[in-house]
Amino acid sequence: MPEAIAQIRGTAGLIVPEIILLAAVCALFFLGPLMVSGSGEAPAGLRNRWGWLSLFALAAAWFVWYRGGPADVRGGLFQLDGLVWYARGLTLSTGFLLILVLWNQIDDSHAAEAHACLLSILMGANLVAAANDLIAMFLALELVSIPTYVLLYLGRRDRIGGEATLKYFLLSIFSSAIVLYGMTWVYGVAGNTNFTAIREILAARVPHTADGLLEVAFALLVAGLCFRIAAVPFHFYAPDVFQGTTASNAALLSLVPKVVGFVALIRLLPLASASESWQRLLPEFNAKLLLGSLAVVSMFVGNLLALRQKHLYRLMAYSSIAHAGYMLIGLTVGDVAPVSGREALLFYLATYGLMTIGVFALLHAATGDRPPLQADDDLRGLARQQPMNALLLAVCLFSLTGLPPTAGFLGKFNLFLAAWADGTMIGERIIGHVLAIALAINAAISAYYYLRLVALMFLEPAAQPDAPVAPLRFAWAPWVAGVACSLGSIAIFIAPQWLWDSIR
Amino acid sequence: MSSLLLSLLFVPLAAALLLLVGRSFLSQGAARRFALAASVVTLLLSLSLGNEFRHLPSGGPRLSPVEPRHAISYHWFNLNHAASDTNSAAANADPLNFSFVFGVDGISLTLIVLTALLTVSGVLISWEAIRDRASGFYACLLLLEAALMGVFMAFDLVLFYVFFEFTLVPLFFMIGIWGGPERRYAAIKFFLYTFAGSVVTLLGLVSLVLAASSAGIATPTSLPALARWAVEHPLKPEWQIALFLAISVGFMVKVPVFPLHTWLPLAHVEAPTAGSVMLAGVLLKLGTFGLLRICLPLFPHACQTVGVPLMAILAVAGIIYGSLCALAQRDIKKLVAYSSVAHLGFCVLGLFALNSAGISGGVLQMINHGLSTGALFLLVGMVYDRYHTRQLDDLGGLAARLPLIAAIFVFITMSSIGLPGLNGFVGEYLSLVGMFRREPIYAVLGTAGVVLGAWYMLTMLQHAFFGQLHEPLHGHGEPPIRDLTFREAVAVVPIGALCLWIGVTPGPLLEIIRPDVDAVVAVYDEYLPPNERVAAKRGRMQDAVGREHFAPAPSGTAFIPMPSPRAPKIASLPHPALELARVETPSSSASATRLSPPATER
Repeated sequence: MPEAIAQIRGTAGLIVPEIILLAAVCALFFLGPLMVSGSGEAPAGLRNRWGWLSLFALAAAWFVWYRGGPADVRGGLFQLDGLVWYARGLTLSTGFLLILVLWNQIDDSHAAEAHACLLSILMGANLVAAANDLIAMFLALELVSIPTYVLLYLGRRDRIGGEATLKYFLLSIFSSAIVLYGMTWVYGVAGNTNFTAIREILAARVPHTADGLLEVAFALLVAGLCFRIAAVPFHFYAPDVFQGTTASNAALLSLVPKVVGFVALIRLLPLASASESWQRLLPEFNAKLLLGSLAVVSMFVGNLLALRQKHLYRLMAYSSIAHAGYMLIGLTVGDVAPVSGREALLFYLATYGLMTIGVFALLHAATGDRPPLQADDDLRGLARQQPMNALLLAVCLFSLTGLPPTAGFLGKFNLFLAAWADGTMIGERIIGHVLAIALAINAAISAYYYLRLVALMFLEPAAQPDAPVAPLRFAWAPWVAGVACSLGSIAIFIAPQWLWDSIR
Repeated sequence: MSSLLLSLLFVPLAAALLLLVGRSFLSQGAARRFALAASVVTLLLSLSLGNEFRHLPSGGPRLSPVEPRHAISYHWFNLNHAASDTNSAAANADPLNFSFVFGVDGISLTLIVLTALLTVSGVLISWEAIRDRASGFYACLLLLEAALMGVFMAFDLVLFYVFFEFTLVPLFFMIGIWGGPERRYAAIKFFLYTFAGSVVTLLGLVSLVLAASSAGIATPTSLPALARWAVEHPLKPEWQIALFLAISVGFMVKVPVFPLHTWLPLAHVEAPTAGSVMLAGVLLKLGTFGLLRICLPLFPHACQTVGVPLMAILAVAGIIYGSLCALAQRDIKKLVAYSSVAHLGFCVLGLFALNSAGISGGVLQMINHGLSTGALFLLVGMVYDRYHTRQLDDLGGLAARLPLIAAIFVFITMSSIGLPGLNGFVGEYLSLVGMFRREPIYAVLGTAGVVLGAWYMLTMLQHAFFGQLHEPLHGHGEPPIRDLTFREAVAVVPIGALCLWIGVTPGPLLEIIRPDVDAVVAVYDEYLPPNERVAAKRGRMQDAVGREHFAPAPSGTAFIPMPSPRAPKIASLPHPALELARVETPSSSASATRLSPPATER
């Protein structure tokens, strides 16, 4: 018995930030209903209280994470290493931004549940990184998915919102099932669920005995997880879901599932390709072929379909698909000298988080409590009515384009370097060169639709200049998030070293 | 010196940010006064940079074809693997270091001063014309100035590219918000066209950096280090050609070289006057500057085998096609825009002569075109401010109404078409002489452009300013037509004075750029086969004495007429003849142009 307690204590010691978040989630779920009357009436301004509570909990978790520093602990259900530290930092830091964007998007009576769902999604994302066991990994993935369904529904409860939620729900459980199926193939080969044990068993087997089984596992895992990162051909839900939800949920969906998906891929792919090395990601030829073609197809499909979009959230969904393609390049390249694709991918995740959350935060901040900006025509003349918002939004859009001096440029630059450094041959050509050229073409294509939005804001007169505009109730929370995102992306461009250091 | 260099970047940047932040409470008057103050301060700083520059050691053995006379560098970031990966190749590779390297050499100094000067003129010419959101306009103008300063000061590939790209943003807003009726289309086309071109350049730069890094260069983005490496260990010819083509695409769009020029007339016509001035005066130089800074020193083989024919043919095509297009225009601004295509053709022709005369001429042509075309756009803007039209059909005999403007217009036109005694002549002459020594046929064809240039410019002048007075109807409420105001005079007269000064005594200017030009030319010395090298030395001696500038080229292809201080390999063992040449020639090209031999008289 004492042994079990010690084991629990040891495991719990590895996930202190998540336990803090869990406590906050419990508190929100228990206290939330008590503050709302039977008829669903809540005191005005209740959402502010819940917002501060979840910010406070997140700050505590962030503090614990920061003080902990990168550690190296292996074994049991969870592990700690550089990737865990970085992924935690990424989700917790962007968590602040996501809470701020959510702040005004939820009504008072449902604020507690919404914040609790958001915190548990962040907790799940952290646990995905920390998992050292197939079961723990799967549970963590579900801990991200299930609150997402609730959050999607809470955000917007009309027919379109319901349709979006249902679509996401059905496809998400389908993809979870595929991931689970892939995990069973790994288990079938290794006979163990612990990552460390699986690696040892696979390393000790007679070479190439179970390669076919592992390839099936690999393909299934990629298929299941590509749903989360919204890579083509698993992207079909993204435009509809983005269109049918709120700015905060769209921001969440464009970033957190990508973090979860890529971290899980980085963890699981070395297992499925029976790579001996512990932390290094070195996809083999077939894996490169699969991931590389997913990357190229995602980039082209995302960017080309985004060109004609009229709905801003839909456009951002296609942009998110294209960015999944960019980041898949990093995964395809893996850890090669002198620039690691895996590190370039993790760097890009952070910069992408800033840009995409920034766009949604500012779109939300531009309207406050009024109906949200959704059609691209709503952006017309924004620079005249709200010059500062338009300027900040333009910074985020230029960052998405990859224009200096923004973090988006550095992200793409690193991916260029990583891709070009990869010398694997495919027939007569070098995979890395093909990927880099595809990336260059897509950067040029994507410039068109981002620039079109900037042009709408700055170059066009307002749609109805004489229409009486109700005085805008200033929404400070999303505005703070938007300012942080756009200034942050310039700051990362100027001083990127700390971000690199934390990735390693 | 270092702080002076950085202040040139940060004064306009800080002023632009202040204008952006303060645009809600700054009136039009306050914004323009503030912008004027900031741009004048920048101009004074650039002049004092020029003053300090004279005290820097200029000669001396050089280690690299591209070397700043003064540089400051800051660590930016580095990419290397964690030390734990001991078993991997990654641990053995050097980290990729990226740093901000700001520096100055003769070529960049002249362009920095040009930028600062044209910005002041740009602020002055927008004084009355820009009323809507004036604060934002001046912020864009100053932001553009800062970005241009950054490009010229960058001695690092990535930094160069960063500023090169960033120039798009302020100019996009300037054209798109304050431009003419077609401004949106023009701004978007300008942005996308040049962005697409520079993405290809980025691809080339990335592969170059990786190649250098795998060869063991610790700072693979620093231009001096790269150029030195490229001289000591030339890249494989096919790689050179591939990299040359990829990297020059972005520059060719920016120049713009003939088939890629379609964005330019549109952007020029729609841009506000200050935007046109900056675009023609400085922005187009980024392309030729990039070719000179990156392509010429790094890919000597590619420049000789592919670069000379490709670029010279495109340049000649651009000269003739641009001139013919200019001839057909009825809009003065569009005419001047097409003349830019032709003038920059001369510049490219000079650069790809790959010899001292040609490159000096190319650099001079950059400055001259900046001065004279900048001034032409200023003057066209002045006419437009008065009559709200630029159509030749609506204007005529304006010299009677606007004698001062007409006088300056004539003067600048003469400079633009290359009248001896004015700046345009020196640049075109040296470029053509240089090209004549490399490939005479292109020089001969290019000379046709000089004739065409005189034709279209003089036709325009005749239509607009001489003959019967013909003005558009003048509204009652508008102020009466006035000749040159004091403000406009301050904007345009210094440019005219510089045109005259460069035309009469190009020596000092050539002297400033000479060491840097010669360092690039030295790269091509290395490529001469031994027998031609001897002949080249003979040519040098003749040049050194300054007696016979048109020494017949021993071989039509690779004759280097000017002395070159030292390519790295020669540096260790100085050759007596070379030493002699170096001592003797400080201003051979200058003295030659002072004599102005009438051989290429049109």
